[in-house]
Amino acid sequence: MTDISSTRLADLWTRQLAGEDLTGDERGVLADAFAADEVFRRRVLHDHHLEGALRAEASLQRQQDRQLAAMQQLLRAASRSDRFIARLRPRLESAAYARQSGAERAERHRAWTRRTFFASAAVAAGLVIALVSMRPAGPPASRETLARRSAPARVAQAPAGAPATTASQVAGIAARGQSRGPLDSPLVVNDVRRAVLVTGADDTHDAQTTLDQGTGDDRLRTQLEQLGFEVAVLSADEPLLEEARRAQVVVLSPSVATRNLSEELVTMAVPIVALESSAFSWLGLTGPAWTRDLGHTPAQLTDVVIEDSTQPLAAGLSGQVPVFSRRQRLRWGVPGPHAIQVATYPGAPAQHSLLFAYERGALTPGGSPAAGRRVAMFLGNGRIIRRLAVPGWRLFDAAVTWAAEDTR
Amino acid sequence: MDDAVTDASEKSLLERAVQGDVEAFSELVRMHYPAIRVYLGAHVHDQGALDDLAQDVFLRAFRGLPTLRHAVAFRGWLIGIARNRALEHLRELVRRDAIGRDRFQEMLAEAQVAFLEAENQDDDGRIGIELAALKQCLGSLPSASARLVEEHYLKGRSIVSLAAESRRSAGSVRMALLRLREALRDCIRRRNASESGS
Repeated sequence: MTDISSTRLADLWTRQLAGEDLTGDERGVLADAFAADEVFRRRVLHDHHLEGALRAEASLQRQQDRQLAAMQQLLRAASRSDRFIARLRPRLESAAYARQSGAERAERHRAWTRRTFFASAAVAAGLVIALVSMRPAGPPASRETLARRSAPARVAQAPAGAPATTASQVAGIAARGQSRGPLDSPLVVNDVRRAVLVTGADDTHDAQTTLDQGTGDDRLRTQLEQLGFEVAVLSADEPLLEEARRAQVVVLSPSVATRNLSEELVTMAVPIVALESSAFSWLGLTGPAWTRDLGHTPAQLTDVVIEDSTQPLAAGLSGQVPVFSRRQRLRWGVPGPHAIQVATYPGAPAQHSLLFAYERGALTPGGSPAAGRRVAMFLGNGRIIRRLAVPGWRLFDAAVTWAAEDTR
Repeated sequence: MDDAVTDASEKSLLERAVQGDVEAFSELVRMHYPAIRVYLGAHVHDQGALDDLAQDVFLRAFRGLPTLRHAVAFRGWLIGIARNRALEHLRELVRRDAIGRDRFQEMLAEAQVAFLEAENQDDDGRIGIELAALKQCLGSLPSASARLVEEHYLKGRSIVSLAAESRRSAGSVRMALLRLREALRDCIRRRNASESGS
């Protein structure tokens, strides 16, 4: 057992804590001890915490009044801005609708100008031809041209449907202007990437979770936000297809019961990351038979084995990687021959996989080509998610990032 | 204050705050800000970030009031938000600053994340260094140690300056501070143990 108060390590640690420069060798000694000695690691961590707590307490004694005053100002401002936004939202929505209508009016005016110009030109050309050939003007080609030229105007004149009803729709309308892409095109508003997290109440491991622990879904949402996504959290019984179409990626939480999901999601081109084994088979990423196509790992484990470290889905990890802070029993799946196999568990049969994916168009065991990128990952319940360590989150980040980079 | 039970005045303030009474929530902030600040400070040493995180915790709490379950003690709920906010901050640091840091700093940052994640999973209500325990233990320090705390932490005097004044080496002052922190840690543990045993 290392006692940091009586060794050279204590000197190194306290110098490090005091902000002194250590040599490369000294930093190496500190790092080696930290990696190898559990007692030293714990003591350093506790000392680090106490140092921080003492500094925070001292800062409170010096500046508590100022800090509290700033906090109260912020709260009043937040309260005012919340009320302001609540009042402003309906006006923004109607303003966006009016702006859209105004843009349509402007486009109609431009189309009318174009039509008038081309019609005049056609009439003039007809007159010239009639004069030259002494034949009556026959302008079917001109009419076709007119029809072609006025086609964009017809698109613009088509009713845009109901007014926008949410802030995101307001932003969407503003960003899209008058050009609408295919329905399955992801919507990127000012480089904001959108993710849909589909959740439910099907996770018994989260039922006893207190608010301060946060549920697995809370963690997933936070992680997606940290990846830079604007996250829409929707439950399976809400209409989510429209949100899904506009997203770069859909993440199916383990809390969702796939029986409540629309089958249409399976064939949508939006990339999907599935975290629970029932979703694997529902999406056709594995067969449906328990113990043949899906099953439990034989033992609880903290580590996974990266099968192909060159894959972007491997997040730069290789070999056996600790992904959990505590041992977990996971569920494996048997992916099809066209899958990208990323991670399995130590001692697993060759066909068992914990993390696998399909490129868009790759044939899945469900018998259909994947409609978009599909990833299956081993985060089968909220407790597993809460126990995910940093390398595990790296794998999650890589899975979501890879899926979202799918080009439609 | 017993964390398991929200006392009557706090309950009344909470009820008013849930109805949108900013002044009531400000009073709750005044009551709990020091504990949250010290809790966060134990994990996040960047003082600039600490100000932002503390404000963020109370803003999240303010906006999350309607979701607060009655059975959950308010301070425990705040600590939970603070823990998650600190975790987000540290995970971001681990991810963003991985290049350019030495191996020890990298491991220390990851160990801090793991520590908070483990704290999140514990069912025993362990919530790090509590301000009340810290204050009580600071009060029980011998006078020389108390003076060292005051000079170094409160007045912000450097180790070199303290060493020069006391004609000691900087190393011995650093060791004295280390021993002092270890004594505080043991005191806080004993206090927590006696509280959980009573």
